[in-house]
Amino acid sequence: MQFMKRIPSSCPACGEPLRIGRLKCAACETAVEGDFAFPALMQLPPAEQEFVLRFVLCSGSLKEMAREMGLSYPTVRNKLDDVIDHIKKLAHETSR
Amino acid sequence: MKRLVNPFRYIAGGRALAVGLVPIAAASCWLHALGLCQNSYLHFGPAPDGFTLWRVAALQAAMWLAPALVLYGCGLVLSPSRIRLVDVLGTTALAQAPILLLLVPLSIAPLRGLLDRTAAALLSGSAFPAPGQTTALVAAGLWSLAVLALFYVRNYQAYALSCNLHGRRAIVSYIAVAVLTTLATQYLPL
Repeated sequence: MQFMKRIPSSCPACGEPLRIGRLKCAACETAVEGDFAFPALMQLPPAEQEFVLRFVLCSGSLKEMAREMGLSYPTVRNKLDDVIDHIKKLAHETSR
Repeated sequence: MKRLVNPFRYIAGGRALAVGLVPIAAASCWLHALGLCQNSYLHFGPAPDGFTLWRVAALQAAMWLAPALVLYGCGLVLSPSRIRLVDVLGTTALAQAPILLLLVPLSIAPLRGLLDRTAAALLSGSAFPAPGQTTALVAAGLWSLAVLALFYVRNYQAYALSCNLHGRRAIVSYIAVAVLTTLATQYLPL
């Protein structure tokens, strides 16, 4: 089984959001250094990232998603509203 | 236990409405068989003479629909989400099920007789129940209190989930609707 490392989005020591300092091409090993912010989606906690992924894979149908997850429609809609709220806050913080 | 108190995480909308209408219909039949009706919100009293099953059922439906529609109105004003009427109606209908448990003590003939006699005695200010009867009365009272607590918690959960409301806003608006419904239904013409 292949183990996929999760990208940490917050500092394990102080909890503050992490930023990207170095990116490397896996093929030629060219590296780019700088100070890059994570996109808002990548700053979400893993459970919310998983939710967004499912939402896209269900073509944005909350009804289908609710059926797949075994939850009721308003439960899934409320979760989506929470994620939207979270993304808005993160996008606002990133743009500052 | 979680599913008993908050089944709405798993069932809502049209399915909850279909399932929720069953206990409402069952409670109507049960009340009619006992010669009772819900003459105000969560208060059961003797049905007037000639009170048909349909009228008992209409009252039961009104006691569910009236607060549900007011809760929907509150949700439209207070909720940050786009809420659906069918979710509010479905979840609140399903939340009515504990009413069936409230009818259990009223269906035990000796206990109902004791409750009727005690109520009459207390209203007229005459003799208090004998010590032997107190245990049965306390047990019936505790049962009713526990069922009422379950009823209110389930209704609150139904409202909070179907309208996506949390915290103080949800609690205050729910209590306001419950109190308003209780007061308003005191004046229902039977």
